[in-house]
Amino acid sequence: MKTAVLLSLLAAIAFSALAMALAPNLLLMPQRDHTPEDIALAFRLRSLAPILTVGLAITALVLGALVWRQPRRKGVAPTLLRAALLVLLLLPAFGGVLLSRTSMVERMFAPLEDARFADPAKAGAADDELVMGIEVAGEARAYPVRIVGYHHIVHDTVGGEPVVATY
Amino acid sequence: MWSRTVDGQVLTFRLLGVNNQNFLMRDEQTGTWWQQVTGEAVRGPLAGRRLRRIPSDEVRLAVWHREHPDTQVLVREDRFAEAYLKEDWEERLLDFPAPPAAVARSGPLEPRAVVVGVRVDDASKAFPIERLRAERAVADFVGGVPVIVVLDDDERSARCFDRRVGDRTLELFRLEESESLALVDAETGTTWDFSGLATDGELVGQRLTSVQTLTSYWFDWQNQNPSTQVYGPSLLPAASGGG
Repeated sequence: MKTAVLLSLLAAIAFSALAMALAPNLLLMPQRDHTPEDIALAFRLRSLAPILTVGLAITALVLGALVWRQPRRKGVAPTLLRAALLVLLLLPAFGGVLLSRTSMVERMFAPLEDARFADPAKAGAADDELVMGIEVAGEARAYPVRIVGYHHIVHDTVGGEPVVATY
Repeated sequence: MWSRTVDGQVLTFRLLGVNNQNFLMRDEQTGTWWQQVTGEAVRGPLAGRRLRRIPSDEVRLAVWHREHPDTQVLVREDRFAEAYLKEDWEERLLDFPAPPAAVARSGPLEPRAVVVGVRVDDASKAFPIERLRAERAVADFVGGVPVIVVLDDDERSARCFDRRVGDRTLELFRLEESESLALVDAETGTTWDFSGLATDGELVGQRLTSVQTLTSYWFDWQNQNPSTQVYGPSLLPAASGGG
């Protein structure tokens, strides 16, 4: 049946889009050993995924339209079923498009926009808390490890110098 | 701690993922991927470049504040209060397995043994924190440079100083009578505090030069410094000491 072939193709393309977007994220998850080849592959995928997933999603849409136009049994149920199936299969394609543009790890560790600073007594850190301390051109700044350890990246400008605290 | 300026361009970074449990970040300006602990660009237009390291200290806020009375501190935000690392984060993290290959080659130390790492030029040495807790002040050499690694009273904050002052190389020892960490040098009898300042004696007022340290897990330090030495008697066979 032509419909089945089209649906299979659609599914393959839609899930490829999702896989392509997921792969760089999964490659860079903590539990694995990472080789330079892993990093190279993740980099290539991440660079190509935003464009490729759009191409795949468009192809999926076209296939979906073709499936829709295939003959089907009369009645509400078959129509609804086909519609539901198409939506279900198209979701991974659009999921891939979106995912290729976001960073999964940033969902786990929110970036800190607009870092604020205060006197030690007002900043909320305890005296015995570990901080990363720097001094640039006479200006001193302390970054509590418990904070930077969450965001992982904190941008700042100290003594006129743009810096980044990482942990 | 890194400078964000590369070739006159100021970069902003986003978190990307993890590479052997050390995270990767991507700059928004060029799309280059950077390794957090080395500041080295591993992929992308600036691959091969390194961020300039800014000397940093990892000490208790009370110590930092005492030494820098005008310091500003990053504010703890309510909206992230639940997300920040918990007080016992270091104990919790011990349960998280290190990457398998790193575990396999970790050898004489446990993968998650905490070490104070010192690198001078191409030479690296790891000082296990357990040894530092036992001795509090360890005089040693890294790449031929005479150093002393000291552990503060919290038994967690470490600093490293170059033992050379002027023409002398000091033999520094821990001052036993002092409750708070203090050092004394054999030649002049000068006492030195945790900030490397001479507080009493012939060399009073002089400062020891700081040497950058990195407190990390052994597996991570070893990963970044494959030929690292380890402080401590008969921990590593001479052949693998390298340079």
